[in-house]
Amino acid sequence: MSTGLIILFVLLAVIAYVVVVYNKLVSLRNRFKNSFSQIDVQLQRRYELIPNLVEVAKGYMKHEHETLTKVTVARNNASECAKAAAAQPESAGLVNALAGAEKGLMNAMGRFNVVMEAYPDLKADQNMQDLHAELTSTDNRVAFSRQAYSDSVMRYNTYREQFPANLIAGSFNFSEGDLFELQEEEARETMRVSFA
Amino acid sequence: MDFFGQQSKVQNSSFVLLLMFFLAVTGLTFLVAWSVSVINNIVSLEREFLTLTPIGLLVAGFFWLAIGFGCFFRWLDVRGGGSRLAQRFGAVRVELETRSAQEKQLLAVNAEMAIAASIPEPSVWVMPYEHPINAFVVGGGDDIALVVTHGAINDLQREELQAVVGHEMGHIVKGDLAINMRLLMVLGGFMALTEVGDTLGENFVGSIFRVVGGICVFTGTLIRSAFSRRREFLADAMAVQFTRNPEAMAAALGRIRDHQDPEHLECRYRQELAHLCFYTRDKRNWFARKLASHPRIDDRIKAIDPHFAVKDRNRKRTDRSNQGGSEGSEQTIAANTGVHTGRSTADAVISHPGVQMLAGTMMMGAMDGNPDVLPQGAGSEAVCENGFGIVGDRMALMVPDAATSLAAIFALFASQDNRERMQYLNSIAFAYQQPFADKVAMLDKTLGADFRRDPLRVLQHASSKLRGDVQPQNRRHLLKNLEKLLEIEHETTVVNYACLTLLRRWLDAEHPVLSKVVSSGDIAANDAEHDKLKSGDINSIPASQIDTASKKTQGKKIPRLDTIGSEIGLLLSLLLEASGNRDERNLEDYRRVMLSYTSEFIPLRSQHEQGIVSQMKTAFEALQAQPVSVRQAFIEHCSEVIVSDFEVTQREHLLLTLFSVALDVDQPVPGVDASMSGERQAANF
Repeated sequence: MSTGLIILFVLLAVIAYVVVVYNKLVSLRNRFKNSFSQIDVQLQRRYELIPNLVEVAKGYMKHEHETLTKVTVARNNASECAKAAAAQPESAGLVNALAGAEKGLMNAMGRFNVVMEAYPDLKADQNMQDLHAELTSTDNRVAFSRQAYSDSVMRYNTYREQFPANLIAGSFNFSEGDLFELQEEEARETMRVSFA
Repeated sequence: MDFFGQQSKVQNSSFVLLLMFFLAVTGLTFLVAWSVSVINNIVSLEREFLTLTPIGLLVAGFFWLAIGFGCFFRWLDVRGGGSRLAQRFGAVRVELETRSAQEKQLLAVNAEMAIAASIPEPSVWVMPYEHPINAFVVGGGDDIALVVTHGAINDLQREELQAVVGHEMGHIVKGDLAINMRLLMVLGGFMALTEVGDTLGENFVGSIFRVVGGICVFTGTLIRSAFSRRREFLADAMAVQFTRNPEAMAAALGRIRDHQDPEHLECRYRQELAHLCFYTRDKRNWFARKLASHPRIDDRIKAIDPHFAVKDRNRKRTDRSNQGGSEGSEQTIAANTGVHTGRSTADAVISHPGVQMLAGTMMMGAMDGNPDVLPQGAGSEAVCENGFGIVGDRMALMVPDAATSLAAIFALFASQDNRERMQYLNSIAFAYQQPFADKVAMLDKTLGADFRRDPLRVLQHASSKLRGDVQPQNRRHLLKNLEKLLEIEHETTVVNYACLTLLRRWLDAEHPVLSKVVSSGDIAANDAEHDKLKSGDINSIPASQIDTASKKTQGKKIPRLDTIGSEIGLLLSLLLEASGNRDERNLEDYRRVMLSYTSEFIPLRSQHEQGIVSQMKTAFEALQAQPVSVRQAFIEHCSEVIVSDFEVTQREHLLLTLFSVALDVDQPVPGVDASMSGERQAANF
């Protein structure tokens, strides 16, 4: 009787352990997926800010129609790409397209900033200053959400690969989480958007 | 720094500490149960005196009960969301549509760090009167409040603020809030043991309770502090993980170290909040460090960035070479004064050339000792005797800009004694420049007497000017300089102390949300109590009933009020002395008011006593600890005493303002709400 009981207890303990590890893996995976959607939220926030910026700038930059149009186009393009990528975060092609569109937007914004140097009135405008502060903060948020994403992916991957969780992860098909491979260079560039 | 490694290291050891805490609690109660059993066995002559007896278990159970009740009351105290707690500690909510750029930045930083930490954004609060750089989080669940001092949003760079906020987010992520609250509750339970001991009185059982309670509180504090210190390192590591910017974290800590505030917070909750804060002051000796809630700042910096000291030194050196010739804060404010003299005077001349010229003639006229030059003529001189009239008008003319206001403030504090005045002026010339000292001397000569007759008006006028024109940090320097200067003179008089306190409050009250603090804050928390007191409005009741009325309304408070009897006596007698005539009726007033606070007789005090100012400070601190209703009642008593002799002198007015400012109570307007003073009162204004 005692041997059977012991075996039963061991079996129960093993099952309980597997359940705990499985649940932990699930929660870690959901957490990193959620932080991916956070990046998207912040990107959208930036896309919503840019038209306002253009609107304010229009009042001052009468002769820079081309620059403003470029910014608007690049922004629309990036926004589309982000939506597509958010729908299918696994697709490497869509994420790459997003990275390209982001780069285009960055270039257009950089051009816009250079042009703006010639309009001191615009720089002094209260609305513009508010938007500037907002945009800086949003850029920070984009960077921080990326960072939070890679942190949570790292946490998930580390847990997944450690013994004995790797046995459970393997048998229940927990695949490795992808780090968001947008070059660090570009992320840095994003943070340096400045009107000063 | 390897923040992930640091985090896991700290986490393991803090688990051990938590375990120790609960072992200590259970161990102590078992010890008590067992030792009581042993005593019980020995007394009842049992042979096996090591067994537990029912009485021992009963005593242990009683201990648990007391601890449990203590926990419960502490829980009542700290329960409720972060918003309620933040409000209780005098913080003001930062609204999304705030106008202040600093607050906007704080909100942005909060949002960024919440994203980095992947948690919902906590609500943001600011403590508007706090100059030290500090921050803490309170609350739990959905309602977490991030409270930041005004000093922090004022003095920290954006990235440093990010680091500080990130540190607090680290506390949230790691669940320190809940643990801290629980430990706080258990400590409250231990304190209940000592309180039970105090209630039982000076006998054997009472002292057992006190001793056990003392040991419990001590061990509890020791373990909790050790735990808290670990968690600070952990939160620092978390902040670095969130910001990926160890330099900013180290720089924030370095700035706090260089800031050298006397306390980590200025408000009266600083002990209560010590464990929650971003930092506390470094403790000097080994023993105090064991009880400290935070590690030393240098240790924290070292954990983040071992080479910070070198970098910091280099940075400071480059800063200094960039600044060029200017060295030290004294020079900076001197330069600032200079700039303001130039600019403001120029402004005044452009906009009101007539006024400026008029002021010039007046100055000369007054110097000749010929008051007839004054446009108001001799008639207004009589008003001046009463105080309120001419000084105000003349102030507006004579002190048109910030620089002159500054000089006026210095002139106000100049001593009457010739030798001391020379010394004072010399040190002003030393700290600032000779022309400024000359200006002070001239103002003192021409208007000094008027200034001293109505210091309140001078202070109000000058601080309103300075508030508009001078940077907050320079204003703080000004106050520091003034304090230093006044220490040169022997002992500050009551009047000087009052002026200084009022000036500090008025000059620092630059925060846009000032009025909100007064109306919400802790007054709201005590509203019910306050209303109760209001219903028995002191002034509307005939004097004979006041004693019974206030006794009734304050009911159970009387034993607690007894302990502050001497403080109240001190303040009241100063007030009576300020009225100028100390006759029988004044003394009668004093006795009558004192009766509603304490039954024993407190002798009258005088402002000429040694060390009266420091006693006054302690009196304010003691009264600050009372609920707002008591403070309000005290101020109302004061104003009643003031108007009872149908005459309000400037000194009385000054002291009443000081009392209400120092006690955080709205000041009643003397004469308006005093129905008994009648028409003569009105005539005097």
